[in-house]
Amino acid sequence: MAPHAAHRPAAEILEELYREHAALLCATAHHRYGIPPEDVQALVHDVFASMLERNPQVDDTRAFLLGAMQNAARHYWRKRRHEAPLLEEHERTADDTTAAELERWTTNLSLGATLAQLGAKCRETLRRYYLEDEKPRDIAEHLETSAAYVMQLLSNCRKRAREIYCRITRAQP
Amino acid sequence: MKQFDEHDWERFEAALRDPEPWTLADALLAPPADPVALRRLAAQLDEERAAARALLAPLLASLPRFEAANIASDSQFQTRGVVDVLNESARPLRNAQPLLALAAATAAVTIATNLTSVDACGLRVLGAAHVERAWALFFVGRYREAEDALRQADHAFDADRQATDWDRAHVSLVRANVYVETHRLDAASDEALSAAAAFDSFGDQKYYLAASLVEGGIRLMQRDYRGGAEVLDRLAEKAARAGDRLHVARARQTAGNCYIELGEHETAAAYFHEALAIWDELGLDTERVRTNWSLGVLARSRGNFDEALARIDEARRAFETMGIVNDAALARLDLAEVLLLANRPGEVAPLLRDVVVSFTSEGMMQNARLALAYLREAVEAGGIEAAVIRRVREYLEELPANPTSSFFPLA
Repeated sequence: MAPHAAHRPAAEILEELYREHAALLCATAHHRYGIPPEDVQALVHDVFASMLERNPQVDDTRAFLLGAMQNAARHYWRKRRHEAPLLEEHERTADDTTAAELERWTTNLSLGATLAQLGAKCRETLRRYYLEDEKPRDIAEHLETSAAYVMQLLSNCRKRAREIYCRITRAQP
Repeated sequence: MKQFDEHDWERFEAALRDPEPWTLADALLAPPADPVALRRLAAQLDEERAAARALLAPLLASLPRFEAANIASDSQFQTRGVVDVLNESARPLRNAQPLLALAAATAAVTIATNLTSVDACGLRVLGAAHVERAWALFFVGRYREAEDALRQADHAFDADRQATDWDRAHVSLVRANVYVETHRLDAASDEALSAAAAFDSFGDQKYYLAASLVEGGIRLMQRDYRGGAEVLDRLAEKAARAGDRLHVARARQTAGNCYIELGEHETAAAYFHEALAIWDELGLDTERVRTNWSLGVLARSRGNFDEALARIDEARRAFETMGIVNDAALARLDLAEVLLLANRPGEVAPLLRDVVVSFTSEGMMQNARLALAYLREAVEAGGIEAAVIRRVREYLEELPANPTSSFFPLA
């Protein structure tokens, strides 16, 4: 029989959640809240420590950890208000973050997680095509293959990325 | 589940031209540091909690046994693990054995206070213990003390940088419930809405539903029965979809009271029976007693006095056994009124001679004593009328909301 959720060992919870979400929290701390790289790990530690201590029985642990990270970042910048002014997003709560901005960030975060889960070749091909705006012919040259193959590769990678994105956002393709 | 359309996929591809997702992907691919310190903390928590469970399990079997152990002053119980286990044990006891829940939560607060005074645990742990104690106080109807406990929780969370909005949302949720019971409905609504928003953003569906349910309760108290029923029906469906039986029952229980007032007795009865079955399934005795009481009130509204008497008397006895003094008193008054309606006035006097209420404020207690003295005088004079009983009942029910209001007998 599975152990009662509240009695699940903290060590087990840590291994699972850290593996799944630590990188996401690091990225969020740095890229969304502007935490300097040298302080990111300490904040992530605090968020996980708090979660282990409180052992919340929530449905969406990712949302819980991201919420806790927002609070940790807010506190981080409050403490340093004499060093640098608080940015708008540090003071925001769920209520006052504009819906459009929250949606943009959520999309980008989910997309970032999608790209991270793609194979290296797909990621590189999509990066060249979308971000660096390279033509299929140039990508083919770089990969020492044909443009037709690159077109096929782009199609497959897009399909794979959509599947991952749907899984991450719990949507139907 | 959301269904993606072509427009969504166009936005998806447009977002791929934005550098941010790529930067995030690179960051996500970088391996995070090995969590050595977190592993140490997790191992320590597991060890402390396992030891605490072994120590506390026999003591939490009954209130006398727990009180006799006096764990708050016993050095072997001074660990964070004991605080955690007391809190997690008090939670399911709130309904079934609220006095034991209160004793456990009070011990947790004392131990957490001792530990924080020597920096052996964070103030957020103490804050959580205060919240749990506030819940227990709420369940035994000691609202003023519950508010004091919530203020202490606020202080603890404010002083701890690792406390989150999710922690504070728990304070707001208890506070909203206390405000509802003490008829401060606008403030209750503010607290409930803020708690619901925080729980939602932290992915906590169960507490999101709990906070949202308060809104339905507020509509009921504002006598917006149709509005309340609509809010609660929607929530019950949402809770059912999430498989959250507890909140289905709570929504049905409150909606049932709305439907009594709307005169839709069939719907009310169906909802109460649905709630009753869930309380039985979940083993939540205090909630079961309240629903049984509501079924008694419904039976009275339908003129089924025998059923009303049986159900309300059962509720009254259960409240008295559980030490829920004020609800026991209100149930006694309900029972007396039904006895008069059922043409059994001879049984009213012995029932009303022993009505007891308990308020922590001396002023409220004094006012309540005046109301009860008026009741006893009417009983001793013989031929007490239903209007007198109703007057006293309404006064006692409203007293927590209006603690300084004086009692005025019927003209």
